[in-house]
Amino acid sequence: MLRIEFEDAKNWLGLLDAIRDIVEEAVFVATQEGLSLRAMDSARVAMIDLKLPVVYFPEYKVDNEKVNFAISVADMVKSLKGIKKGYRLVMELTEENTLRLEFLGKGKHSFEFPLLDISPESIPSLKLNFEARVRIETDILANAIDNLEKFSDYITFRASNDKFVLTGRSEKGKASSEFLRDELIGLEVTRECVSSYSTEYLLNILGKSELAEVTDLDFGTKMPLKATYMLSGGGEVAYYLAPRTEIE
Amino acid sequence: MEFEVDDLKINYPNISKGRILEPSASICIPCRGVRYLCGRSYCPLILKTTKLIRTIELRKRVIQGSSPPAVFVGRFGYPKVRIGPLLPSLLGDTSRYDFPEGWSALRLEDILNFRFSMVRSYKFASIEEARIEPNWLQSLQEMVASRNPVDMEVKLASIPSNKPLLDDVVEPLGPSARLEHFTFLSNFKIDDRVEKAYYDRDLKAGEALFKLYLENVEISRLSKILSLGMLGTRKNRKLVPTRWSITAVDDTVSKKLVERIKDFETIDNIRVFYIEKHLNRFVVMLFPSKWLYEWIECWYPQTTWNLYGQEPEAEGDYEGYSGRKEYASLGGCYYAVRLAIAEYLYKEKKQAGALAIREILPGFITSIGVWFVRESIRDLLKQKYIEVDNYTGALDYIFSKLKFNRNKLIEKSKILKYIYFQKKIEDYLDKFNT
Repeated sequence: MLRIEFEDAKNWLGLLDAIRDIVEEAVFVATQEGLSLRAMDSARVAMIDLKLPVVYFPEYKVDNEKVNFAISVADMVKSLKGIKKGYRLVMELTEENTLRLEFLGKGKHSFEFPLLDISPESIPSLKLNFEARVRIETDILANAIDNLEKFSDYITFRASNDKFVLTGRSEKGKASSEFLRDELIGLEVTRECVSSYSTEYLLNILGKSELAEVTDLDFGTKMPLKATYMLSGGGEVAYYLAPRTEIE
Repeated sequence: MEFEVDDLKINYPNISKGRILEPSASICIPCRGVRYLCGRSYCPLILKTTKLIRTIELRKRVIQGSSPPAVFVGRFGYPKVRIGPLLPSLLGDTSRYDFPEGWSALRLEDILNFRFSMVRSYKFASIEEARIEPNWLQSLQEMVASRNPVDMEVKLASIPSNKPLLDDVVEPLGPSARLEHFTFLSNFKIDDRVEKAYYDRDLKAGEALFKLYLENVEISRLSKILSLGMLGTRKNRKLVPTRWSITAVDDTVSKKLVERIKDFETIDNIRVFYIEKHLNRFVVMLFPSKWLYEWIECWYPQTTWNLYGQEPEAEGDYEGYSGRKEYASLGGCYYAVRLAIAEYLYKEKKQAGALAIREILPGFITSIGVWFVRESIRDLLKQKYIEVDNYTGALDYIFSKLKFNRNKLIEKSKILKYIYFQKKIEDYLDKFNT
C-alpha cells in the first residue's frame, strides 16, 4: 500500500515536467525514507536524480520496505494540463494496479492511470570530484543560456576564483555571459576549470524556476555537469549532463 | 582546401574531368547523347532539339491534348495568382508527364522533354475563389480528381511564349500563354477517395492530406489537390501556389508520420544506405536514437547553386525530437527528404535518428524540383543497406563513399558533431560508486 499527499498539486506537476525532459516513462521507488527516481535519457547523455524525503509530504505511508511503480509521465502530463492552482493532491496505489490521483480543493477531482510493467534500471549514483560549484539565480542562468543558444550547439563553462563565464561560439559569431564572484550567490573553485555542454540539453535542464529560484551548478574540466534544484519543503532534483569534447 | 575533380572519384569520361564543356563535334559525335562527355547530367543537344520540336508543336492558339492531369498555380502577385491546366499537344496516356513517382529510372532529358512539351495555360484568379468555386474552377478541380489523363481543348489568348521555367521546388515548366477557354473532349472517372475528401468540409486540410496519403494517393497528386483549394474546412479553402503546396504536403504528411514513429521502438544497429544518381550522391544513416533528423547538401563548384565557386560548400538543417520552429534554410528539399525517411521508418515500424547527406557533383546544373531528392531518397531506402554496431564503422563507410572533406562536414553537421564529441554518462562509469 502506498498513500502520499502533496500540499500543493502544482509541485507534483512541476516534478513531472522536470522528469519528462529526460524520460517519457519513469519508475518511482517509495521506501521508508521517501520517494525517489533515477533515470537516464535514451541517448545516455543526461540523467535525473530525484529525492523527496518523508518530511516533504504532509502524509506519507508505505506498508512495505520498498514499493516500485512505473507510469507514463508523458501521458500523465497531457491528462493533467487542466489542473488549476490551489489544490492538494493525494496519490494512492489501488488494488486494480493503477495510480489514483485525487485533487482536493474546490470539489474532488479523481484520475486513475494504469501502472506500466517496467522495473527500475539499476543506475549507481555518480560521485565525482567536481572542481567548481556555482550558485546562481535560476532565471538569470536561463536568460544567459537563451542568449548563447543562438550562437552554438554547445556552451562552454569556465570557472576561476573570481568569475564564472559562459561562452557560445560558432561561425555565426561569439557571445558570452560573465558573472563576477559578488554577482553570484556562491562560487567555490578548487581548480580553474573549463568544460562544454550541449545547448539542446542545457535548455532542457536549466532554468526550471518552478522547482527552485536558485540553481547549484557543479562541474570540472571534461566532467559532467550537475545542476541541482533544492526544493522548498525538502528534497532535490539533480540533473547530470555528460560533456562535449570539442577543442576550445 | 584546393578543389580537385580527380579526387571526387566520379566516373567522368576522360574528356570532361568535371569541367562543363560546350557542345562541339569532337565531343558530341563520339558521345551521341549517351555518354555525357561534356560533363553535364543531361545532353544539351537532345534537349535543345526536342524543345525546338515541342515548341513548334505548341506554336498555335488552340491546343488539343490530354492533361496528365496537371495544373499550375503561380506565386507571383499573390493573393492574385495565375492558375490553369498543363497539357501537351497530344491525345493519349500522358500520365507520365506529371508523375515524379515514376521518373526515377528515366534520363533527365526525358523528364525535361515531358515537362517542356506541355503548355502552361493560365488565367488570373484570387486565392479566395476556392470558397466561391466558379464553374471554371470546379472543372479544374474535377480534372485533377480524375484517375486518368483528361482529354481537353484549350483556347489561348496568344501563341505560347517559349520561356521554360526551372525551379528548385517545382517540376520544370514549359511554354505559357493566357487561357481564354477550355473544354473537356471526353468523360473521365473521378477518384472517389479524392471526391470524399473534397466533400468533407469539416475536415481540416492537414487531416485530409494525411487520410488521403494513408489511402495511397500519391504525394504529387496531393499537392495538386491542395493547390486547387479542394481540402480543408469550408471557410479556410484557398488556392495555394504550387511551389508552396508541394512543400506543405511534404511537411504536413511527414510531421504526422513522425508523430506515429515516436511510438515505435528504436532500431538496434546503425543502417547506412548509399546511391549515386545523375551526378548526385546520397547517403542516409539511421542510428539508434529517438527521432532526430538532419539534411546536408554539399555543392561542388560548377553545380546549380555553386556555379562560380572555387570550393565545395555545405549547408544543413536539423531538427530534434520535438521538431523545428523555423522554416528550414534549405527549404523544400529538407521536407521532401524528411517525408521519404519518415515513410520508411513508419513502414518498418521503427524509430531512429536520421542523417541524410547529398553531394552534388560538378555538371549537375539544372534545378528540376524537390521531387528529385524525394524520389532519390525513396529509391535509396529500397536498396540494401550495410548494418554496423558502431559509429566508427558507419562513418568510415560513409566517408569512403563521399569525397567531401570530413572535418568540414563535421563542422556543418549537428549530428556528426554530436557523434564525435558528445560523451555519455556511462563514460564516467569507472567513477560510479554503488
